[in-house]
Amino acid sequence: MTRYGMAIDLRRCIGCQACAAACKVANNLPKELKYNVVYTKSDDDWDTLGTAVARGALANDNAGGTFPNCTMNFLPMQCQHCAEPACLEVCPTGATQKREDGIVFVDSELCIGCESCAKACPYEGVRSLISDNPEYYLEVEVGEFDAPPHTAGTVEKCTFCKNLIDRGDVPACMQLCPGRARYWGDLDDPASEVSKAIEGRDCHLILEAAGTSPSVYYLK
Amino acid sequence: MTQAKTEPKFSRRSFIKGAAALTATGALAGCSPAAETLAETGEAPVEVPETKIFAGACRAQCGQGCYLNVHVRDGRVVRTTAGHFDDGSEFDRICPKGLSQPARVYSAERLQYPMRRVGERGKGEFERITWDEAIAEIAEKWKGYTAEFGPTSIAFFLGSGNTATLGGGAPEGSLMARLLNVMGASRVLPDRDIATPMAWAYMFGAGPYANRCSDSINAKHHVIWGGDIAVSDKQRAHFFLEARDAGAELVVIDIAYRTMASKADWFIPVHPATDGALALGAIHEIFEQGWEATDFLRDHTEASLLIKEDGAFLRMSDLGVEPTETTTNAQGKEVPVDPYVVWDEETSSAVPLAQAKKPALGGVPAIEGIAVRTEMELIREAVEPWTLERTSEVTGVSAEDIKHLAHLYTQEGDVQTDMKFGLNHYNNGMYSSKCVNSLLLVSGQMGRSGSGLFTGEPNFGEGNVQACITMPSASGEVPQGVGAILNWTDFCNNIVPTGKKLGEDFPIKSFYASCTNVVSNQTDQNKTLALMNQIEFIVIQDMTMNDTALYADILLPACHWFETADLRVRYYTNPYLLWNEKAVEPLYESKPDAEIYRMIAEAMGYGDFFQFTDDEYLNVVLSTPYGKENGITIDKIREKNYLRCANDPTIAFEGGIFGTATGRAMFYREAPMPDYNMGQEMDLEKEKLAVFWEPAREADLANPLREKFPFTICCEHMRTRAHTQWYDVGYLKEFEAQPVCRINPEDAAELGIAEGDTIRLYNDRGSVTMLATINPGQQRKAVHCPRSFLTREHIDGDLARTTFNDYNQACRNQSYFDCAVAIEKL
Repeated sequence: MTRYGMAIDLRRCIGCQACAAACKVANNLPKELKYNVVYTKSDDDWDTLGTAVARGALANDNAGGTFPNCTMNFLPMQCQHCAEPACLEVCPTGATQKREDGIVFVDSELCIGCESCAKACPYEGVRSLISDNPEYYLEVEVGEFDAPPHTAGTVEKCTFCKNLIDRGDVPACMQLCPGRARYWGDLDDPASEVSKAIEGRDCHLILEAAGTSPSVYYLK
Repeated sequence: MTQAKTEPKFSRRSFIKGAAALTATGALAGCSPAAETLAETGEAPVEVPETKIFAGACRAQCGQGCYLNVHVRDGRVVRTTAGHFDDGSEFDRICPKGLSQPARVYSAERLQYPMRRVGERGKGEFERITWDEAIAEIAEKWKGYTAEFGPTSIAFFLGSGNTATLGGGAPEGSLMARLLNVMGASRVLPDRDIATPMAWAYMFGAGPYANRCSDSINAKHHVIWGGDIAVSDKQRAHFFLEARDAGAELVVIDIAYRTMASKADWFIPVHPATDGALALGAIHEIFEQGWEATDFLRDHTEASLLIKEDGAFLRMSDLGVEPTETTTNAQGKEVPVDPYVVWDEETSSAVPLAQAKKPALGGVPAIEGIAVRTEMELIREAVEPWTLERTSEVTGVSAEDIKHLAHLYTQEGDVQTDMKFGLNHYNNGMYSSKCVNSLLLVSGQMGRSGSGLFTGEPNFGEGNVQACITMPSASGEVPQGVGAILNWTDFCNNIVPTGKKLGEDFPIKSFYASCTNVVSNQTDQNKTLALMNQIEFIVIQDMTMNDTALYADILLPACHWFETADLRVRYYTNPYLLWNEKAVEPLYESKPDAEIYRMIAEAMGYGDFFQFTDDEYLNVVLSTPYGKENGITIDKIREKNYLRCANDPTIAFEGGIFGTATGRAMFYREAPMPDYNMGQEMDLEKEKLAVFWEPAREADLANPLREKFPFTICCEHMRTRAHTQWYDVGYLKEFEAQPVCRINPEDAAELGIAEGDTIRLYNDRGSVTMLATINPGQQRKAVHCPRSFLTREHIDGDLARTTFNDYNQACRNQSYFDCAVAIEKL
């Protein structure tokens, strides 16, 4: 059975923000909505997020430590599409759903914006409640024709670009990573790119102790 | 190649292969049900609107040159993705800029119609006019200036904001360059990024200088010297990371701990602009240890050439042997060959270089009474003061690290060195670059796989520029050629303000710039603005209302790159020629740049010089020896919309054969000349020996000026802009929101500055106000500020108002980083 997952090679991520930019445009995201944020980290603790301009920081790319003995890392972060998602059971309307292929998504027609999912999820900042009148950077609509609708009063998050996957394409953030840090595919298929990338590597699952079995593997 | 993209089951590549068959069955008709959605969900079929994919060439001057897929739906650019080359994926590329191209197309900053200034210059007050009015006014003024002051009173600035061949402002054979040559106008050189490449030319001769990307995996050590590749040359970062993951050591020499330093095995922090001193310290240590590559120096450099007390080479004519042979020099003139003399240790005699079996590197006796020393001896003498102690004091690098670097370059296998423009952007850029080059030669780290320079990817080059420019008109008339070549700083500081060039009358009446934001991108912006205010008639052609557009008298709206077809020839880190298809119609009244050049030419009475189709012109561009030999035509490129070129070797200077007259790398020039002439005073002794070094002007910590202005600003590249382009893209402000000053925590504490405080950076030239961000990755007294914001994006002033526009005495180079300021909290 197909079980979609990602691997992100932290040694390869150069913090270029291509994955975040690709996500914004392909999904026609309004200004306030970010499915995918690349945090700058001034330490090596992969269970904390770090800082990002997209989350209110003044600047990305600032190091930690004392010059010249510094540390800087980058952490691309989005919904982890957990095998045991904490957001699923708590959804009062059944809007949060998990597909057989592992993709966790929110049905905007069922979502009432109660944010139960956000409260239950161990991962901070991966979803947002759409405001009454979301603003866009452009007057024209961009992205895929079937980009999520961004309905006011609903909660949104990374969909693994299921619209693209379902027509044989790849998630927007996976289309090309300049640092060649991102891998995607079927975790149950040992021949898939993601399985091969994980094989033999020291992997980190963020907040693994929360018990949600995330599908995004961070390679250290 | 235009492909509908609707079928769910195919990846793009297999889809293209199967496209013809599918079209026959009708499966690709405009709207078709998404069958898989139906099968999986049981829901009604969704109407899938047709999306067409066009080939796009991203052509900002970021040096990456990405091949893009431009997704068009309902006549609108909706998305961009990385194009895939079918002959290898290592050059598949895209970045946040390429990904947000739709926002440039639909930018609120787009110039929509031609305009004429009605208010004060710089205020942005314009009235709408028609194309006919705009072109007629330009032609009327220019014809008048030509009649009264000559065509050189019209100055073209050939910028690099669009590296397309037809439309681009860049000089390589574009239609704008042809127009300039047809009119006989003046050309103003931007004078950017000159020092480091010229240092290669002076020492290694004709290029290519770097090994190709495919060789980067073969290095045992990679040294990235003075540049944060992940930001300024980001599409090359993966080559370094792959080499590192395959076991290479990654070493980064930088003034701050930035992205590539964070990926490095060894980070060597160095004081700004002292890299040349670090190289000299390493060479000194190499000599101390006897680690120099003696055979390489003897066989592949001119280290054995003999220099007389007057500084000239000893030649056979000095020994009474008059030249009998001639050769053709770079200017095409026949000149006599007067061979260099060396001392042959095998025969203990003075012989022409070519006949020597074992040229001596030192200890040569007087020859026929003429006292001589080898280049090698001059080098040893020049590096003598660069002890570990002194080098450490100047550079801030520990003695241990200097010794380690010397050891790395000579005792630990192949080292590949990356040099871009970190060293270049200072007043001493030429000297620092030559010292690093010298380290490579003394170590013998050139001319082999896994060693040498790794700076990019030589490609097709510039095309047959001469033919494009000199091609006669339809009636056989030959273009009059460029009227004058003017250096930016001479133009800005002398020629326009005084109306004289080197004491002779030289009136400038009009300035024309296309595809470039001169005001933001040249140093010392207050001088640039004063210049703009002194010129009678300014014509600016661009896509958006940038800082330069605000100063136009006539503003011409150019269309977006995807709104016209063009060829991208020029690139430095990518071996492909790229065809950019026209994906959508030009918005508003904007026109392709090339069409605008043609309209001006027609109105000026030069239409006869432009009686060719775009394809005919492009085929002239492609008619280089390599292009002809390989049958490269525009139709051939359009078969796939890209064409890989392999006209340069994988290994530069393979076998130690350099591009100089002797085939050897040069440490010494007996008669150096400056690369510009604005009547400057010079001490040309400094330009002779490659290991000469002096500190930068304001970045030098020992400069007394630093008491008043204690901080160096590195005006750094941004991740999300190519110079100022993309300033109008909101998406990218999620990553770089506003100008910030990255400052060391201890410096900040001393000044009472906290994160987010408003601070002013100033010196005697100008000032800029922005927000402070505390960054432990900065060394003391050296801040980084992004250099690609427009004036109106700063709280006050502009970063470009703090820098100077003077050149090094012999090198015409803008020194973007050589700038000292004081900082105060507001």
